[in-house]
Amino acid sequence: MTRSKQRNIHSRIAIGGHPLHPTLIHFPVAALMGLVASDAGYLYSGDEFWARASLWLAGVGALGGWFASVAGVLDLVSVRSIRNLITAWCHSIVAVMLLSMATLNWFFRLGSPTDLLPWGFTLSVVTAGMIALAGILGGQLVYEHAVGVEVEDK
Amino acid sequence: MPWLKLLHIVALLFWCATLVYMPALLLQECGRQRNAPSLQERAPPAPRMLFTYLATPSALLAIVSGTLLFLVYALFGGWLVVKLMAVMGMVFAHLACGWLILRLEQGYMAWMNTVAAGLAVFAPLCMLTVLTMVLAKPFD
Repeated sequence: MTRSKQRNIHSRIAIGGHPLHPTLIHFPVAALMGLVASDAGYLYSGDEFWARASLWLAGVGALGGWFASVAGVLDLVSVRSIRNLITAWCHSIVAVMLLSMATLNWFFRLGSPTDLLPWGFTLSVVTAGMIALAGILGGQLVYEHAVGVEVEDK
Repeated sequence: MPWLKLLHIVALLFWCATLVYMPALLLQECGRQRNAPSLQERAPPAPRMLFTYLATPSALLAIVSGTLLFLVYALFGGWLVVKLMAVMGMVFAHLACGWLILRLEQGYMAWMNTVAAGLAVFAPLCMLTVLTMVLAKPFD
């Protein structure tokens, strides 16, 4: 990669220097990860509570994910040093792909929350795998490229 | 909503074009650097610009507009899940291209030929699957 003189990269979409995207993203990530567990709970126990929990987790995960992704995309497009990072674009394409799947997953469940096999559960598991990949790439952005990190005096 | 569909198809065309072109570009760079070692010092910025300014933005636009399309037209079914899996295959090919561009810039050429050639086959196969699913809708 091309090494810039500036060691850390500032986020523009931030409140008082606290970047918004990493603040928001934990909640949809947790919801979509929990979705696998609640799906498994329904498939194991047959208790409809878990199916309804899945419906809500999928909805909160998809909507929260799109909301958080807006902050991410604005940072990606508006900050030149982020825009030039291949890893940043890779992170964004994985995230948007998994949000597309999570959205489809939620709409599948709106009609019939208990109809998990084969498609609903498949989407949940694949989405969780994609979240792991997006997390690795996002982690590289923060821990290797220091995006949104402040170590230097302003 | 025809405008949304138009946007989707235009973005998709750009994405598919770049996804076919990038492995070819990498293969060509491979051959060039092998024949002329003096060029190895500095890789040209062209592949990175293609990736960050054209390929990935159009991919994002294609995926977002596609998501809006299946919501607006209320299109659901097993074929759509398989289609999204094939799109995920395209995303993986896209990631691999980004990874190869990073390696090219660092001068690591090992396996570049093989991986790029593999991508040149894999990406169009994914596109073909996507088109088959969306046009034929072989199952519900």
